[in-house]
Amino acid sequence: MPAQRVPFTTRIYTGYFLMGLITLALGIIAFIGLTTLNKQFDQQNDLSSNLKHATQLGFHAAEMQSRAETFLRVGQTQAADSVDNAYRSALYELSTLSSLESETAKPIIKRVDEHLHTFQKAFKAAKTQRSRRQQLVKTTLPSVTNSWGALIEAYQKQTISAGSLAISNNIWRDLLIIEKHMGQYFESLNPAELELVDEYYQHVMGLIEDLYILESYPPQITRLDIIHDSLARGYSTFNEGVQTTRNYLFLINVVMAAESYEIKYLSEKLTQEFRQALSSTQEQSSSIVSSLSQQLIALCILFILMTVIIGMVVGRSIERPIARLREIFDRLSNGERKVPIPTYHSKDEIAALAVSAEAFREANENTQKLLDKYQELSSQLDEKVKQRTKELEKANHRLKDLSVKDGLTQIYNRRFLDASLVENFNRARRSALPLSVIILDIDYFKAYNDTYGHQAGDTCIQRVTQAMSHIFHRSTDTVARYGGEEFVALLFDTPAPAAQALAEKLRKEIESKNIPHRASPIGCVTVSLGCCTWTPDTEFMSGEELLNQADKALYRSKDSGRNQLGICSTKPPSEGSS
Amino acid sequence: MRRRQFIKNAAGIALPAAIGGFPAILKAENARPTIRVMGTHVTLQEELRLRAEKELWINIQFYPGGSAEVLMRATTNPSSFDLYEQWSNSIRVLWNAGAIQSIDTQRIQYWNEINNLSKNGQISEGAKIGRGDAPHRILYVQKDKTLGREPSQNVSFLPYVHNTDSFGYDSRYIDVGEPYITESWGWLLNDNYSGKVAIVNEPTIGIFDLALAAQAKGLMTFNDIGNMSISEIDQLFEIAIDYKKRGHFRGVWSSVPHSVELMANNEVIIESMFSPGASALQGQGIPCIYAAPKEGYRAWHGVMCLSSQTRGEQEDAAYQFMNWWLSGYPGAFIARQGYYISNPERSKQFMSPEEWDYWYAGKPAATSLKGTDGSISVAEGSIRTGGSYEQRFSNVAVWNSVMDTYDYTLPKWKEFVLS
Repeated sequence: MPAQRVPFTTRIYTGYFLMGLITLALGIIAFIGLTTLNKQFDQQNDLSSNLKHATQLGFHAAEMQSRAETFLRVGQTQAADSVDNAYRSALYELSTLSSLESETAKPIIKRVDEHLHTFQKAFKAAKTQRSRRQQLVKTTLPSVTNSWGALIEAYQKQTISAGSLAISNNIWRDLLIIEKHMGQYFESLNPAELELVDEYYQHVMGLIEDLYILESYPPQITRLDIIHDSLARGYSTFNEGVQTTRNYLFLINVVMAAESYEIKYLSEKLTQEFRQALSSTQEQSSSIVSSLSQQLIALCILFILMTVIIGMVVGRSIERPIARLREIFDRLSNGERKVPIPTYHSKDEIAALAVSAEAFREANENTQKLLDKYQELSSQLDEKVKQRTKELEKANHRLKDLSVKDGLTQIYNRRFLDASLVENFNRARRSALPLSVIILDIDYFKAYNDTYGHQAGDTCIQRVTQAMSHIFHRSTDTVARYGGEEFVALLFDTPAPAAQALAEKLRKEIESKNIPHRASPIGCVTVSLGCCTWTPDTEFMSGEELLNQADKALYRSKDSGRNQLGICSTKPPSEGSS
Repeated sequence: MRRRQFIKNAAGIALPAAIGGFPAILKAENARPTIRVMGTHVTLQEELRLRAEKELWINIQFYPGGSAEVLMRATTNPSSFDLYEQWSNSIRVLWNAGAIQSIDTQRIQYWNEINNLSKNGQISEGAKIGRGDAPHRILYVQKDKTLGREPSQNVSFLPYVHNTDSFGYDSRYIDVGEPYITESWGWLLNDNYSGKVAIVNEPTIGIFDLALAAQAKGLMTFNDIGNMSISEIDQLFEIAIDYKKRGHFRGVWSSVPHSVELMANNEVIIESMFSPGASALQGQGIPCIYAAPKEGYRAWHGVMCLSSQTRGEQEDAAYQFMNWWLSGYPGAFIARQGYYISNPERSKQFMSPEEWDYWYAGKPAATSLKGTDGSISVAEGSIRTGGSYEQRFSNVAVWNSVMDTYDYTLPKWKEFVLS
């Protein structure tokens, strides 16, 4: 019997503990998986928000450029504010994106930042250039050109020469044309206007030179100087206006356009990066989900398996000894004594049960021993009773024998004969079978006694009865001592001839014994017999009468000389008797 | 076509004293005169500044910036600088805006050493004269105060640094071509490189790259590529915008570092380029080849200009600095970056024979050569693409120019950039 080392409770707790461990592993893996997933989702959220920011960034860049163009074309301060707003929004998107850890995004963000600042710087410069240009075109230049008419008029008032007047008229006309082309340039930005302005300017300057040659009057020369200077100032103002226009046009068309394009391009690149990262994160997430679910399913299967196995192992380890102990108790309760009880070294309930079983077994054994002792005693008593009963039966039998049998001869006595005669007679009548009665008397028996003494007489009697018992040996035959030296044999279902033959056989046998009898004439003991047979034809109606008839027949044999058989006549006496 | 006449009295234009957002110019901290030099990173290099300060005993402040930025600053605020260093294509604008004054050649010590490339457009007899604003066409101040080719004592700029430009390509993606034979501006419009092409964001420069490319591709011809007509401009931009809309161009670049960044990031594999950009890429291990197009180069000429507002000791110091530039050392210094100086013979003595052979003579480098930063920039045995100084400048297709159609070009350019 293997000894159980681990206590019962320890086993249960170990089972719980193992299940707990698996549950814990399940929990930990689920937790780790979910945390990773959560991180992935966070990352995805970040990425999609980044995607939004990057898209917005591109949008703001386009907005900045288009609003800046509007502002520089029509000069709406609202448009300029929109540029600043778009710039600030772009900066905001960028600052949001700047916190990114992405190695691919970082350099792009840095580049966008640089382009954004360059754009803003360029826009600022463009605004300055534009405002300067506005000042030149709207205020400075008109203040110069508007004075030209009055200056020419002042000159012409003092002019007396027709040639000078004609030239000054041409100057006046050319100045109007210059003013017109200047205005048209700023309207259309058509460079052809610049050439016309240049052309007329050169022409007017030539005309003024011509006037200088014609003029000799100092105040008029001064007036020409004023006209010359005003024209030069107007021209340089115009050129500065052209330059500032070109400057801001360069800024808007070249610098800002390229910067906004770069921002847009890089934003798109960022968008692509994020989109790619997003899709790869989504792929990762789905692979995590599938691997997590696989792991969890595997663990669940393991969990169920372990539960079943641990349950079975623990259950069996508990159930087995209990079943064993139950069997032991069954066997003990059935009274088995040779029941081996396992020894458990553990200190658990099973061990306690085993100890109880052992106690039960010991108690059982003691009881059994007592029972055995009792049974032994009881059987001894039985034996004695049996013996006594036997003895009693024997005694009773003897007693019974004594009552129906003759003490000397051990054949039935007269009393039994009487009862048996009645019985036999009745039976013969019922069955209509013949009943024969033979009566016997030892011849000269008184003399025998007298000659040989009573003891020899008894022996003689015994020998005669022995012969009788020998001849009438059927179970239905009854041999009895009728008295003294007289004996009777009742022969049921024996017809007269058979009875007579038997009687004759008996007479002969006794005679053949040759028992000395000096007092007898024959010299040996002989017997006389009388035989009578009842048949349904006979007249007498009782056994007693049958016996009397046999006795009569005996007497007749005696009378006839003894040692012979007398036969009774059942017919009318006339026909029978010898 | 008539050329626009420029104002006679440049100095007569009064300009606002300061433009918001530009750095304030600090006063000198000691008695030495201080000059403020505005320009681009090409020539405004710290080594040169320190050396010049030391040799000339003057203070020099550098204000480097992007081409467009510095030009705008200069045209609108001439008092914010004393010397202006940029490209010949800015000269008309500056001169027109009255931002600069003429330079007296008699105060230029080595004027006579300056070679004929700047003076008559031909580096040697029989050399092809490039179209557009070749330096000799805008160098001399004419009697009518315009700029022209008739030699005079007064010049609009000091000729000094110059070079030829072309395009660079990444030989990992584009098969290496044969200089002057297979390498062509047409490559810029090769559909195989679609999406990986960039152009410099400067209408006065980039337009020629596009024009040379379109012409090389046989898409159009120009009566005078250096002075395009309105219809030619229309046709050119129709082509360029069509390409742009098809995604052919990655975009435009606004500075040399930007051009480097684009190719280093593999955003482009071919782009119009300045030679430092190509060198920088090669330094980063990117096999950028600076092409020698069979159609000829787009050349540029550096101009050192004197602010119309500079007077007195600043003016003297500015002349000192100009003379220093032609004194040999700076020419040798910038030669190591691939640029040429207008009086190379004087710089020759500041260079090793191997350096001269490589940088000027177009011979293979006999030894490995160091760049201006002291690290080896030229491996032994390598040959400069495009050959010798003479060969290069005999193959100038067009010079960077401000054409008469400049104003007309701007919105077109914007459309190209944003499409």
